[in-house]
Amino acid sequence: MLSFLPVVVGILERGFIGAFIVMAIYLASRVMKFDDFSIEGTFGLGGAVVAWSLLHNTNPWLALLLGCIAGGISGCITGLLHTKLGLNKLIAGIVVTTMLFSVSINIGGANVALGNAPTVFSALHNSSFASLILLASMALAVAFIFIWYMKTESGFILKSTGINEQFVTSLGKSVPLYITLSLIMANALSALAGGIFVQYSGFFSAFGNVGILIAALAGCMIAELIAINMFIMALFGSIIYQLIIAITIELQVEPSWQKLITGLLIVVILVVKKLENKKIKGSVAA
Amino acid sequence: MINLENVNVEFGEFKALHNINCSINAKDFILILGHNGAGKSTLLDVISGRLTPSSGKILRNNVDISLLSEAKRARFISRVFQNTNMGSVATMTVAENLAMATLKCKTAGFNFAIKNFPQQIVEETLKPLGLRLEELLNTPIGKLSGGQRQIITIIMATLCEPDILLLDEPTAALDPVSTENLLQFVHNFTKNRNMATMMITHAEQQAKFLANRTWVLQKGKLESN
Repeated sequence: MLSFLPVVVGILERGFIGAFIVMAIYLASRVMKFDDFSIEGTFGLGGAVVAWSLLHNTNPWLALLLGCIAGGISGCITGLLHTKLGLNKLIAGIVVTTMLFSVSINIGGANVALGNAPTVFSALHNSSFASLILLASMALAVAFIFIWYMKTESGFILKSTGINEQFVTSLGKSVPLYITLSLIMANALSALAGGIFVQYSGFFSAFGNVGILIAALAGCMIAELIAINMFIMALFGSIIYQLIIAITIELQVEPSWQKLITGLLIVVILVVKKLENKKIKGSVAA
Repeated sequence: MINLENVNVEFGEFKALHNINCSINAKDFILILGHNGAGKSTLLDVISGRLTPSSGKILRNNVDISLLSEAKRARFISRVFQNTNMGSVATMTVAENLAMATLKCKTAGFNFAIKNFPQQIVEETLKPLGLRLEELLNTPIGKLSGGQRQIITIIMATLCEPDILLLDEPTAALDPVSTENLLQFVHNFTKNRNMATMMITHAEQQAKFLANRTWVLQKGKLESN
């Protein structure tokens, strides 16, 4: 039983880190209906900025803040490419994420170990659950901030923009502003996740973000299956996704198959949703 | 109040509006008639700012607003579309939609509006209608019938007392009984307000009791004004 404990703690810790990106995906893709590819790039950018900052003796919390700001600026660029230059949503995200690969590799290098640089986890080495508690607290705090924000005036307009742009225009509000705002927040969240992941793992890899978008999407879809409040469910969705990946590792599936498994997981969730919808329609018809 | 001077709208070779000159005054109720493709919706698009005229001017109290964005014009021009989904957010409740509509005039903060404003609307607007819409405040607006939703949308469009209310075939998606109710509602609702109303409709016979002016558009030209 005790031998399982570190595995479970690891799953939960990675789940809480992933929850930030799941929330980012939810905000961009579900609330704003903007499938933003740049979220993958800003995960790497956040990691690169944090790695560079830590190696230049920056306070680890300040490093996270810098990572978030860099992510927010990237989200702003994606938003402006779409709203001001009329670039297709998907292409705008791909353009930014492609550019960010160069930016990240030039900031953080291809592979960098943090060595003895202090991180937000440095002071917590003595307690086995401290990292978990810190990560859970951060994820919950961010989730509750978003739950609160969605009930504010700005949050209501943001939600409305994703559902009905014409309605927001008729309120005299700027649709481009709210699209860009949502992308700034989503990409800042993704960069925060990248930054935390670098501090948690102790290294930065320019290729570490590859496939993170699809993993977060899987987490988001799991969350939607059990949704009560999406920002809280993002935590569970991410943890369940990590659990599924851990089970595949336990079953000795080669890590090289992990991306395929994630893709198949999304297909399975889609099939389950489709069957559920059919069931609901069937019961209504009956 | 609003004047259109030599307004033209062209899409390549096609002239959607041809040299439109007209004026809209406070308390006017203008019925806009014409066949499909005559330019009726394009006329409302140009007034509301959805479309920029290819040439000509739109003046509000003698100030040129031709280049003002639709969002900025929304402060004094409200529009209701034939598609009931366009004027509200289906997943939000009636109260939330009404509170959102108050943001345009910003008489109170949103948090205040969401808690208090619906009650004010209940007493002053919904109850007098006698349609029991006040009982639906906590219902997602998407679950209301087309007629009920269109009435709420018109109320939302007029909460901040615009100069002009543009109604783009508001009865198009409604059955005959709902059409009758909605037109009666529009009549009662607009007659005591100091705003102009322009309504496109194909239900000419049912709606003509509302209007003091009737415009007919034909192939982009204003045939009678």
